Amino acid sequence: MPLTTQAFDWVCSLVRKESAIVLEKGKEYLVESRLVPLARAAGAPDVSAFIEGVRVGHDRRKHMDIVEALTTNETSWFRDGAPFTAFSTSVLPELKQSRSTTRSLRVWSAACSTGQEVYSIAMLLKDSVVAEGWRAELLATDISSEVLEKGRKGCYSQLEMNRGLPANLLVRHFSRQGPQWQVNDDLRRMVTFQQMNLAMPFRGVGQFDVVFLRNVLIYFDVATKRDILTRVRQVLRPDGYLFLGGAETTLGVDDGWERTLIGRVSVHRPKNGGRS
Amino acid sequence: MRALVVDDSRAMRKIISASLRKLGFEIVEAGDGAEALEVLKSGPLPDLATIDWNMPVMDGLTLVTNVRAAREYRSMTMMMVTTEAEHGQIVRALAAGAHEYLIKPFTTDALEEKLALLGLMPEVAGA
Amino acid sequence: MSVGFEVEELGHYVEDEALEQIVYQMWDSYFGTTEPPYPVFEPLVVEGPVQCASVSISGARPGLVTITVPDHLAPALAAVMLQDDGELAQDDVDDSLGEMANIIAGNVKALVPDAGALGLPVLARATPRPGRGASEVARLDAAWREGWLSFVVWLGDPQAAGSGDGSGRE
Repeated sequence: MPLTTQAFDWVCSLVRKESAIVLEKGKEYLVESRLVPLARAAGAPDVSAFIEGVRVGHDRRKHMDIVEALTTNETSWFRDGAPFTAFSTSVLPELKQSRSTTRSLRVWSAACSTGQEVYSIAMLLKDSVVAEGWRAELLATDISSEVLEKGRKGCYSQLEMNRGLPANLLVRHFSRQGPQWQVNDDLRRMVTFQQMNLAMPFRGVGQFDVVFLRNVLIYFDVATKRDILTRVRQVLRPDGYLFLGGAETTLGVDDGWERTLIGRVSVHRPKNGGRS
Repeated sequence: MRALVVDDSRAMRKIISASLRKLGFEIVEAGDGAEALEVLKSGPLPDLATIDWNMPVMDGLTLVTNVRAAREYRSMTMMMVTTEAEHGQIVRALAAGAHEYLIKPFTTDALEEKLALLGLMPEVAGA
Repeated sequence: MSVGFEVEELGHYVEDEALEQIVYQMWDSYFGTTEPPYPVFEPLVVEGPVQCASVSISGARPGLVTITVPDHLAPALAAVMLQDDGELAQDDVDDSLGEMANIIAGNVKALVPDAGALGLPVLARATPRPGRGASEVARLDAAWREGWLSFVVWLGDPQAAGSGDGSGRE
C-alpha cells in the first residue's frame, strides 16, 4: 500500500522539527523505502501503519529512529569519484604551496554519515602530505550520534567495503576484524568525530582549509541553506575550498562565493578572498 | 567495450554478464582459467576480464599470473571477482597483477563503482 | 554435549550472527529485498527429500559449509538467483546452489585463522556429515516461501587436521 498523505505529512513535520531538513512532496518513495526496515522490525503490516503507531505512541526514541533513517545517506568510498580526483590533483597541490611554511592542513567533513568520506580524504592526505611530515587534522560531524559512533569505530561490513574503495587502499589502510574490516589506527587518529546540527551555530570548530558539505544542503530550506553557507564562509580560510554535492550550488543562495571548475567538478571559494 | 567473464558458476557468469551488458559491454564467457586463455588466443583482446578465484582446471590466480606474463595482453584490465575475502588473498592477487578486487557477494552498484575506479564506466569515462 | 568446550572455542571464530550477516549480504546482493528468508529459532524438523550444496575449507581447522533446501523449493531458489522464470534444468539448480555455498564458505573462511583453500561445490541429495572431529559451530535456519532454508558451518579441531571430509573433487 502506498504511503498515506497523512503519514507523509506527519513524518515531514517531525523531520523538519528535529533536523530542519525539508522533505518535499514527491519524496514519498524516499520515506517509504527508508522506513521499510524499521516497519519490518516493528512487525507493522506496512509503513503507513508503522508511522501511525509511532505517531500515537509518543515514544521519543522511535521518533529519533525515523529522523535518523531519513537523514542518513547511503554512502560509498570516494563517492562520485571526480571530487576526490579534483581534491588530490588540483586542490592539494595548491594548498601544499600556500601552506608550505605551516605544513599543516585542516579539513571538515560536515555531514560525514558513517565516515566513508572523511576516511577517503584521510587516505589521500596520508599518502601525500602526511607521508612528507605534514600535520593533517580532519573533523567529521553529523547530526546522528549512531552514525558518528560507527565512524569513530571505523568498522565496515564486507558490502560497505566493496563500495568504491580501491583494492590497494583497502590492503594498506584496513585490517580484518571478524566479519568486518576496520580502518587502521594511524588513519583513525587523524579524524575527530563530533555531533553537530548544521542548522545551529558552529562552536569552537576553528578554521579549515577545505570543507566537504556534500549532499546535505538539499535537505534544507533556502533560508537555512543561506545561513549555513554564510557560517561556513566564516570558518573557511579566505583561500580555502568548499566542495558541495553534484546537484548543489551556492548560486542564488549565498552570493559570497566564487565558483571554479576543476575538470567537471565545481568547487567554491570565498569571493575576493573572503573580503566581501 | 568488451568483457571476458571468467567463473565456473553459470549463475554467477549470468549475474555479472547481465550487469556488464546493461552498461554496454559485449560479453564473452569462460568457465575456468584455461578456457579463458583459449578465448584470449582466439579473439580480439577484451578491455576487461572479471576473474573468479576458485575454479577447476586452472584457478583465477594462475590465470592472472599467466596473463600478466604475456606482453600482448598488457592492455586488458583484470578484476578478481571472488568470495576469497582475506586481507592476504587480496594482497596476493594484486601482487600477481590483478588491477582491482571485488568480493562476493557484491551489489550492482559496487560492481559499477569498481568499473568507475578502473575508468571503464561508459557514461562517466574520463570524468 | 561432550564436545561443548570445543564447540565454544571454534564457535568463537564463526558465530551464528556472523553467518546470518553473510547470508543476508548474499541475499541483498543477488535475491533482492522482496522475499527475504526469516530466521526461525526453533530447530527445523527436516522431512522429505532435500537438495544440498557444500563447500569444504581446508587448513588448520578443516570445515564444511552447507546449504540445504527442500527438494521442491530448490528450483524456485535458483530461479530467484538467476532472475529466470522459465523451467530450469537440474544443472542450473545445482550450479546456483553450489555458488551460494561457495559465496558463504569464502566469507566464512576469512573468519577462520590459518585457513587453507576452498573446495569446489559438491551437490548431494542429503546434508553431508563432515569428517570426525568436526563440530557444528554456526547455523541459520530460516523460513522461506512455503518451506525453509538451512545454512550450517562445521569446523574441525586443529589436532584432527587432515581428516576433513572429501574436498570438492568432481
